[in-house]
Parts: sequence; C-alpha cells; structure tokens
Amino acid sequence: MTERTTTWRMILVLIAVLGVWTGLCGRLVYLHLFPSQKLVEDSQGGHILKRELPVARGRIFDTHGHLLALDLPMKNVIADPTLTTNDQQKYDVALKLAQTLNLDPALILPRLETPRSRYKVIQKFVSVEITTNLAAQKLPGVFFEDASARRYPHGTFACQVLGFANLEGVGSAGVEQRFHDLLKGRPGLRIGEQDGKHREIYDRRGTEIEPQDGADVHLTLDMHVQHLVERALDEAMRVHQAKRAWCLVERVRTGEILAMAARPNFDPNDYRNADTNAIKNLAISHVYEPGSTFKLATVAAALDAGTVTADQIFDCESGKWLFRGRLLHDYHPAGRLTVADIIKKSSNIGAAKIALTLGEERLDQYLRAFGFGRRLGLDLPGEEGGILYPHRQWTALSISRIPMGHEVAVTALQLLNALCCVANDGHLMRPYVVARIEDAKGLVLRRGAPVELGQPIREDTARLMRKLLIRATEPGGTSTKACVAGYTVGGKTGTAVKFVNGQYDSRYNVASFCGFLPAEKPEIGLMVVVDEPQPLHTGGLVAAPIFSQIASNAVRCLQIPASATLLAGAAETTGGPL
Amino acid sequence: MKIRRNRKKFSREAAGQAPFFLALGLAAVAAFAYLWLNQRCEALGRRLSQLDAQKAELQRQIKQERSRWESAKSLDQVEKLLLRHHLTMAWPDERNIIRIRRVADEPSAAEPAASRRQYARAGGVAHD
Repeated sequence: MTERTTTWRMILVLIAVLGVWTGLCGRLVYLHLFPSQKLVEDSQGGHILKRELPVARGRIFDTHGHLLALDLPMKNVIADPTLTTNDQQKYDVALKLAQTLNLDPALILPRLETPRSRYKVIQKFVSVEITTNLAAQKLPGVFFEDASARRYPHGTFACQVLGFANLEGVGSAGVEQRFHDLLKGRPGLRIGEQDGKHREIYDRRGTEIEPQDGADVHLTLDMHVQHLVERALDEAMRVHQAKRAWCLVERVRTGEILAMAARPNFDPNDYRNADTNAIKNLAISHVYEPGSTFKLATVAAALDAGTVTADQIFDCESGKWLFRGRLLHDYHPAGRLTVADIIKKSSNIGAAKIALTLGEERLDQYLRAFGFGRRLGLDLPGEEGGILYPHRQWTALSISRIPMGHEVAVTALQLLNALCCVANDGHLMRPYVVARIEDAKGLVLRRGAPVELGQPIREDTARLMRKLLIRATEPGGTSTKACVAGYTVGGKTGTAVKFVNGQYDSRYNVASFCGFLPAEKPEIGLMVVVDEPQPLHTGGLVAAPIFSQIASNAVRCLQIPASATLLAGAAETTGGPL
Repeated sequence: MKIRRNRKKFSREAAGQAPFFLALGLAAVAAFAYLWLNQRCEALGRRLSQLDAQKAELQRQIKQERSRWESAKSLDQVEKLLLRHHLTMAWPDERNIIRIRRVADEPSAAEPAASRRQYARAGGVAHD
C-alpha cells in the first residue's frame, strides 16, 4: 500500500467522520432553534411533576363543639398484575392480601390474573395501620394510593340532619349536601420536576399552592338533647311497634333547632346499605294530615280576628254534627263547650264552628301567615312546603275539615314552628340548624341568626292561646301525660286517621303532640309524631308521654329553671333517669 | 557560567499571569460553591419532604385519635359503660341548684334585632 493511498483513505475517513459530526451538530442546532411542539411536550412531560395536594373536607360540630363528622386519611390498596410473574407468586400475594385485609383470597386472585391490566383495585379506604403492615411485607406489584374517607364517629347519631358524603366526597344528603361547596375545600397544587424514577427533584419545585381545607360547620343541634330524642324515639318504636317516628326540638325565641331525629335511621358510615326511607328526614320532608294539633292555629286565628272569645260557648252537638250532608264526629263527645274547653277537650265540631265564624278567606290567610303551605326556609335540603290549597279551591266541607287538621298536609317542622310562634308572643321565626360556618383560618363565612318571618297573631292573642294550651295539659284535658314535674307545659295532642287505600281507615293513625315549656316563659318547643302506633294510637297516650320523657331531661340539659310556682309545691322535681 | 536571572522580566511575566490565576481561582471557588449549594438544596429538599410526610402522618394521627375519642365519649358509649358498671345517674334536685346569672349572658347590642327584642320581652336576662 503506497503512502498516497493511505493518505487518501485517511482523508476519506476524516471526511466521513466530519460529515457525521456536521450532520449531528446540524440536527442538534435545528432541534434547539426550531423544536417541534410534540418533541417539546414529550421531553418535558416525562420530567414535569404536577401533583394535586389532597384537601380535607370540613368538619361538622354540634353547638358544644362535639365532633360529628370528619375526614380520615386512608389508603387504597392497588395491585399491578404485570409485576407478579408466576402463578405461585400470584397465589402467595393473594393469600397475604386476604389475610391482612380480611378478604376472601378467591376474590383477590382473579384480579391478579389480568396480565394486561396494570391497575387493579384490591380494596378502597383501608386504614394506614393496615397498609403499613402490608408495605412491610413487600408484596410484589402491590402499592398504595392516598385516599380520604368521611367518618361519623357517633354512627347513626343525627344521621338525617348530617346526611352523608359519598365515596367521591360529594355531599349527598343533609348538611353534607346543603353546604357541600363550603365543606369540600380546594385542593392544592404542586408543580416541579421529577427524575427518571418519578421521584421529585426537590430543588426544582416551582409552583406550590397550599390546599384550602373545607370550612367547618357548627350546628345548633345540642348533642345531649339530640341523644334524649333519639333514645326516646327508639323506645317509642319498640313499645308502640310503630312504623315510623320523628321528633324535633326548637328554641322558641330564636328558631334554633336543638334536636331533630327520625326512625327508622341509618349509619352514614355505611350509607350504601341504608334504606332510602331511612335517609329521609321525616321531620321536614314528610307531609301528613296533622289532626287536632292543627286546631291551635284555627283557634288562634279566630281569637286574633276577634270572631270568638275564649269564654264564648259553642254547641258541640254531643259528638255528632251533620254539616252540609256529612257527619262530623268528636272523639270525646261533649255538649256546650267554651272555646277554651274546645281546645282542652279537642272538639272537632267546636273547631269547625269556630272556623265558620272566621270564614274561608280569613282562615286561609291566617294559616298561610303561620307558615303552612310553604317552605319555611330551613337550611337543610328536602324541606317540603306541605299542602294547603287556596281557599277558592276548597270544597264545601273544607271549612269544617281543615280546622281539625284534615284536608291539609303539613310537616312536623311547620306545626312546631306555628306553636313556637304562639309561645313567642306571636312572632314567627325562621328555623335554622347551622349556627355558623368557619373556614380553616377561623373566619366566619356564614352565621345563622334569628330571622322573624312575620307576626301572624298579636301578642295578647298569643298570651291567651298559651293559657288555653296550658289547660290542655291540666286534669280533664287531652294532654295530661305531657306534664313535666316542676314545669308548666302548654301543648296540643293530635290523632289523625290515615288515608289508606282510598279511604280513612281508623286502624291506621298518626299520633302526635306538640308542646312548649316552661309555659309562663317558653324556652323550647317540642314536636313528637308516631306513625301507626299499636295498640295505643292517640296522641295523648302515645306521643304526650314521649314528650314528657324528652322534655323532663331536656330542661335539665338546657339549664332551664323550673317554674317558680310549681317548684315550691313539687315534692319531686327531678327528671327521669339520665 | 552562571545564568543570571532577569528578575525584572520574571516579575513582569508573573504580573501578567495573575489575573488568569485569579479568574481560575474564582471559577474554582464558584464551582465549589455551586456544588455545595446544590448539595445543600438537595439536603434541604429531602428534609422538606421528610417533614411534609411527618406532618401528614401527625395530622393523620390527630384525626384518627380525635375520631376514636369522639366515638369513645359518645353518649351511647357512656350509657353502655354505666350499665356495665351498674351505675345509675340522676339529675340533682331542682331545689338544690343555685343559678348564677353572668353579665356575659346579658344580650349585647350586636345581637340580631329579633333576638334582642325577644330577650328583652323575656325580662332582659337570658337564662344561664
């Protein structure tokens, strides 16, 4: 090989190498100066870390700060079946998962036998203690995801008021639903870079937006009073073999709801297995014909309009009265009764005759002023407005039936609120369950405050009505079993025959009692409703004792002083057992 | 023959090279500073991450304990415990209770009008 040939070869190699290098450099310059969008996205996408920072849903408290609902950090257990290589390994992993998670291995194994999938949920919302135990076992292909689960530490307590948040964290009933936007908070955001193994490069952390925890909701519910109500309802369901029962307690002067419960109930921690009827808040969502409890509105209206006086006498026709071709009965037949005694004896005929003095139009006006036939604006979802047809649509019999609580449908809340209006010198207050909502920094976002909806009756009429309602709980009245030792009680019983299969069937009744105490200076109003109690079925025998049971302890919980006049004479003023 | 050193020329050359060495030294210092800062940032980042995890874990534990505590002191639970230990509780006799009215219970001007009026109507003092 000549020296010349060697030189040429070297030159050619040099040219080739230079050509390659020039090409590479050219490409490099091109990529840097004129990069295509796709390439930029591909290169950056792998390194950019964009992580949503989890946020805790707001908590729910009672009026004393007892925690009723909170979010607990949990983990989801996930499997990547592609990382378990053989059948024996799959079986071992399934067995260990089943033992730790208390599951059937036969349910886990099929999920591990899906080689194409890299993401199989084994179990959601597992406590961190359990996942720590699992992590220590270093099972191949098993990893964990952060999750958050809603917990209600008191179980079924106040379940219809609280409602529940579903697995996606969306409030789906009660306070959880009504204030979901405030409770849910706002998740944070972290933008940075990660290495090839998806580990964060800490010093490349760019944007960091702190999560804003959800606002805390403080309710007006009093845990102790709520407990009394819940226990009394459980007992009522057992003793009276009732189909349903519900009760609510309201502070007369402000409209604060102190307790609200219904049976059947459900556990919001396990809402997926709850009966839909149990989720319904009967106190505000269920409308029913109230029966005689409605007479208090009729009589108050007539007294306020001046069409009757308390001592005016009406002929109650010895319990049977033919009005426009249809008989009207009294449960306790009576002859001539004063208006005061009509309330005390709960005469249907008397109430109808009182309403006739008032006339359809004015009765309709008064009833609507008391809040019937419309929603009161309670801060909970599902409130019903009841049914009260305009007087132009009333039948010829309506004027005799509506005064005794038929041909009209109300919620327990409406009726209790009307009673509280009488107890509150004629001022109708808007009921509310949320005392305040505070954000995570303690800033008050919303404050529940007493709101007056109107004054359907004058103050002197309300005072007179209170006296008449006190008489109903005195000997000879229908509500004697509602008495509370040491306290004067005013109230009204109701026994409504239910409309079943196209007709009123006396075997099915709704027994109710609404009352307030201490009657001389009312503090709280209570409403008890028992649906289809057996064998006793009247409000006086079924609902009034429940009222007494709850009220006698509630006054102690709420530190309401006993009536001074009764205190001196009372031999025993203690309430029932705690 | 002894070669004589031209001190004048040497010092002139040394003076000419000084900026170069100074720049080299500064570059070395800057490089070491960069490495040290990088290391420090990395360490702080790790620490930050650890503290983040620790904070999250402590918050989780607080919530867990709060939930347990609330469950433990629920009134149902207390009643069960009382029953288990055959304890019966009763309210004190009303005549044995001394009620003290506090100035704080007086209605304030900030209270809503409806409420204030009702308190006033009730005698000007809320029950304690």
